[in-house]
Amino acid sequence: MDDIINEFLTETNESLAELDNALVALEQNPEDSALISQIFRVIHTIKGTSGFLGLPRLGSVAHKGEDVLGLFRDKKLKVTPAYISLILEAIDRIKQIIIGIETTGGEPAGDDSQLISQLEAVYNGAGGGVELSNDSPNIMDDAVMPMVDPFAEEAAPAQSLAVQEPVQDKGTAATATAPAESQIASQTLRVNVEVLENLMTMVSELVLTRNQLLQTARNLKENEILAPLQRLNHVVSGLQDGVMKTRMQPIGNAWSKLPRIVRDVAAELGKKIDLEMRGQETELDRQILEMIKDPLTHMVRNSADHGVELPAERVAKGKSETGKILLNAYHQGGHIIVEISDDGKGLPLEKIKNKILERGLATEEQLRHMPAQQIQQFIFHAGFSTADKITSVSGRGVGMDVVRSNIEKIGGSIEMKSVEDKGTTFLIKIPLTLAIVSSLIVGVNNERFAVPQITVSELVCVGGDSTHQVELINNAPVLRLRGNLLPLVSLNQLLNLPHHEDKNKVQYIVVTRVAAFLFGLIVDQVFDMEEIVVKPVSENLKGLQIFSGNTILGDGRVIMILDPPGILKAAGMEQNLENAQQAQEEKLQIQSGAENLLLLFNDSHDQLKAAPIDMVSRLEEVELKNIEISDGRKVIQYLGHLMPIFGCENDNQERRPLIIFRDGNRNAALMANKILDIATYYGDLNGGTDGSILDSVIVNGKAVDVINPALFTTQGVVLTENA
Amino acid sequence: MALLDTDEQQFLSFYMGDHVFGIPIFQVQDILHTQQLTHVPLAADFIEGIMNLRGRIVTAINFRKRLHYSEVGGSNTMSIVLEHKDELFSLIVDDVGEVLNLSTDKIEVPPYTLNPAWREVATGVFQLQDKIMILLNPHALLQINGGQK
Repeated sequence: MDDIINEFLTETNESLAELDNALVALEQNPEDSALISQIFRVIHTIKGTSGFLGLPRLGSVAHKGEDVLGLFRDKKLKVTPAYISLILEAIDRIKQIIIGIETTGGEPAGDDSQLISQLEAVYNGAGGGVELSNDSPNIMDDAVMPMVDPFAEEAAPAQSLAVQEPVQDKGTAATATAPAESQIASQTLRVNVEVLENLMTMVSELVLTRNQLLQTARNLKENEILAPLQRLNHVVSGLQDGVMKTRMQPIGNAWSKLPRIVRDVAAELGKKIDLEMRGQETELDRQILEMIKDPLTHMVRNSADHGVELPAERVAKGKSETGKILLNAYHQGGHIIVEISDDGKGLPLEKIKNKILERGLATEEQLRHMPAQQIQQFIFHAGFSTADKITSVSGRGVGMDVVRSNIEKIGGSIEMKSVEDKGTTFLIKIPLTLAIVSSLIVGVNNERFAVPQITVSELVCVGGDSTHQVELINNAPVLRLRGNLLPLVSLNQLLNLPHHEDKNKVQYIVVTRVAAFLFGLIVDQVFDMEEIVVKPVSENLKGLQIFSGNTILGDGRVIMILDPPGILKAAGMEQNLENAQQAQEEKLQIQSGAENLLLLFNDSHDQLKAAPIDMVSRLEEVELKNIEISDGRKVIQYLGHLMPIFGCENDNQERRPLIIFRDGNRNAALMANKILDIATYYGDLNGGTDGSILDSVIVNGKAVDVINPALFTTQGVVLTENA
Repeated sequence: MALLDTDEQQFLSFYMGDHVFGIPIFQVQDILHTQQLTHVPLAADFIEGIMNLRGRIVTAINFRKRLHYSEVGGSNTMSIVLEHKDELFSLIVDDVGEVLNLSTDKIEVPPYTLNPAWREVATGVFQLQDKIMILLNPHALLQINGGQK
């Protein structure tokens, strides 16, 4: 059943249960205005929500009930037992309908006209000063009561919310249903968020303790605690999963207001728009859900306002009169993807260009060389709006830049594709949970810090006999990395830790990316990747912009999490960010075409070759004696499978580097003589995909053949997950 | 009975050098031997570090440094864990004494000659037999901007 309806049912059941008691109390104490208000509110909510959800029967009963209750509240009608009975009857009817919805998914059929006419009689009677008792309920029975419900009409454009029209079947079956205990109500339980958070903390602590125990147990040879410990291990893992699940909520919760918003925009602008929502059940961390709610609403409103054209315009373009906005959420590789697309007019290139010129963001000459895709990206600039006029819905220029920064704040990213007259698609990639972030643990001066992995683009070893060395320009450390100069920040100096200069000391550069700007962080040691639970930094340490939070590691120690944007600010490189963005845009103009990272290596014939790095899954070293022959092919055992090796020449070397390619779930290895470097190549690799060479390009002044890894992987083995 | 009397308050006493301090008992969460701390670079010097207490992160504050009391204390310190605005703090002190019931009407205003740094955090003083106990306001004590050096 639809999540929204489900939630509505849960809520309604709860409030109805309260109402029973309230009504009985009211009978004994008819003057209690607080009670009347409480009852009024519940019925009012049911009326409003049922209208919004397209449940006309429920809506009209609640509507009439509310009318009468309104009279009680305004003291225009004295509360008598007869009236209370009537209200109770209305509430019973509401319960029946709700049970019907629970069992069939739609409103049960049934005739409420008698009840409604009674309620109306009371309502009108009071208005006209006529007292009416419940003993003569049929007084207005003959009156024709059209079921006018303004809300039912309003809900109509929102039909695509997957609310079915009332199920028309089995005549009186539903009305005959006794007001049995609601099933949904007994299946869900409302729990205070704070209780859940506490539970989460306790479970994290339990996990830590278990890890410590396991660590200790590993050093014991034979021990009678091993078996119970193993069981504890499983139970704790299960418990952790369970508690994590309680934080998850369906994304549909963040969408519940959208049909109404789209409907309002459409009505105001005279458009016809269908909103289709898919994947509402996709679950997200509660905290993230809260944070993407506003950006999503903004974007859907944008699509309705700017994207979808007026009906006449659409017909002239040969599209159907009704525009379509699609919201789709699904899982992809540890992330949630939210797709917002419309079949509207797309981003108007000319208008954006004019706006860019007007605001001086680029020159006409620059624009001429920019690909359309890049020009469209300007909508993410602060204060950029192409709306002709400011409507009540959008066009104030507070927009996509805020959306982007909100999404980036939770570690997500946003992509956009737009074709003029065809429509626009936004892809938002968000992490499953905020609470757990995969981080790189680094060390300086015997202290450990975490760097969020999402900001780390690579690690370079410097000093000692490494090919990379830190150079100083008037005390400012820099690194030459593939022809580019990378500014460096010494974490030691930044944190004011004691340090001694030692040129030969082996250090590591954590190449960190903040938006478009790359810089290197000099650290002494690099430890492991660790999944960490981020905890907010103490109020008293908020002034330290260098840290974004702290966390408890597996061994129970607390460490600080570094915040790369904060580091940039602290190191005084903030200005560079803007420049880098511009520089990158300029670079894209000169070196049009995609940026390709290539792995350079000497193949077994000592020829310089390159391979696209996104196809390379790992670099390994192999001992030649481990290579076996199977089915006439040279293979090696890798992760419990036989993986074919190509380019394998027998010579006297004992160990040789292996490049492991992965395409989907197929793995294959290519033997090399030497792995050289990683280089960037701007441009498309044009060769066919079936040949052995993708393209021949010039990298670092040398001609290199880029091999086609697909050639190997298609002959590779399929790795299955549970083999 | 005295416990329930409204005009009596319970204070945990603790020591720093020759001085004795009191802190309202209902704000004290734990008393610990000094734990292993993680140093927080760039933080104010009285922030000794952070630590893990049953899955919650505790900011450890060196009471001597917080009160600008220069004499070096013994190495055998104790930590008093307090909750302030949903956060945990641990106050590193020389030693922890007993819990005292003090009648509120005997609590006096701190003398005006008291060092301003101390006056800021003191709510009153109480005359013990041999010493004068300084009663602390934990909120004033923990209302600090530790991010600035």
